[in-house]
Amino acid sequence: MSDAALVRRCLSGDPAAARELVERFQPDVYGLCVRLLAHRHDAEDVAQEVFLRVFRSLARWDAGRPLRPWVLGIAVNRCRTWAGRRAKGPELADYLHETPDHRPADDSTELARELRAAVDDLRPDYRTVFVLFHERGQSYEEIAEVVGRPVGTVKTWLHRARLELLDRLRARGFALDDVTPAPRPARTHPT
Amino acid sequence: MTPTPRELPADDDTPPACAPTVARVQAVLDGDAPPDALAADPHAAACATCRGRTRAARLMLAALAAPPPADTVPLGLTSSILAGVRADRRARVRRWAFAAGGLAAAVLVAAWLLARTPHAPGVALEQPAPIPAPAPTPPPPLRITDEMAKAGDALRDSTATITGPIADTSKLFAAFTDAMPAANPAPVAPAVDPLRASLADLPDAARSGLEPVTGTAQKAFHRLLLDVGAFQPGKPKS
Repeated sequence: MSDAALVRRCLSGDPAAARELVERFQPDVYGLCVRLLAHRHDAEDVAQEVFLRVFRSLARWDAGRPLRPWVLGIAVNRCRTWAGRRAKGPELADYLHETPDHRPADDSTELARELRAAVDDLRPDYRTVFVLFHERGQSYEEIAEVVGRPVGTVKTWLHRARLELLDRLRARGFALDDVTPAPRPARTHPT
Repeated sequence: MTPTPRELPADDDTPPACAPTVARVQAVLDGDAPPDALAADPHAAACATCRGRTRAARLMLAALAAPPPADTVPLGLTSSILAGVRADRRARVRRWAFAAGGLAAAVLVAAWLLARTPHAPGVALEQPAPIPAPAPTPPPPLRITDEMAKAGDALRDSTATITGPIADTSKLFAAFTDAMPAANPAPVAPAVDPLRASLADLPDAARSGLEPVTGTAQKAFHRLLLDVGAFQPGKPKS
């Protein structure tokens, strides 16, 4: 079922369509919230808030534009608001900040953990575009829709984010020896 | 395969010699060039920074190629979201109902209040506000020069002959007092000594120095001027 048809059914009050819409976008919304907030419980709360807003303003969605960037744009905005509110409140304990990684620790895991920590330390705009591009598989155009900025701005942010990450990996001694990069999987752009 | 050259951001502070390498790294990370393109960069062999960035880029590719830690959706989140959406919809419907009910109640109360007024069903008639009467204008302040001019005019217009008997001066004085403004609360006449009715009433000294009638009239006029000059009207209201 196309996004437009799904939205029409949701607007007509079909509960099955509402469930289908949530299930279609929930992994992206929740995953993005986890990455942007680095906190699973916060991500659950924000994901719920995102879908509340999605259903409230579903009638205003422009059917001529893709639905996914629109939903992810709401998620990015809610994460930004939530993070700003959280920054003004009392600091959480460190263990609450952790998003546990239960994979066995080896070199690749250490590298992935370091990269993830480096991404978390990026400024919010850079982190958002990096996560959307490299972890959520969004194209430049979709990211521009999500963050509400021109494509050129998105490219600039991603360019700077990568350089910051590369320099951090270099500074941490990860780039001392050559490694053979794994082939990059073909990018898929979900509709 | 050589990646297509791409432009770096305008405010990028990469040295010109390093720009092609940085652009190549970005192209590989974008997926526009294969990872092998990083190995075929001659500049990286000579520049430590670019060599380190190239290696870091290959590491980043390797890390990103691995499946990311699964951010599995918690069980029950879908149901929780849907329950929240339903509750939100009910709450909004309730708010709308309260708002509509409040508006309807307000309209009913207003209609009831209008029906209770004596001029129902029309709009209650209001008594027109009385037009305030214009405040009485205070009399113009007395000016001694004006009063003297009036007195002079009255003297000139008087029909009494200037050679008449002294008893006629009372008429002349009456003409002066008539010329005084009517609003004057303090008449001038009581402030003036009563005139003598005849020459017999005058003291001897006055009789002995009595001058012709013309001089008497001048003295009377001089006395009048003194009296008028001594007159103090009430302060005008400002």
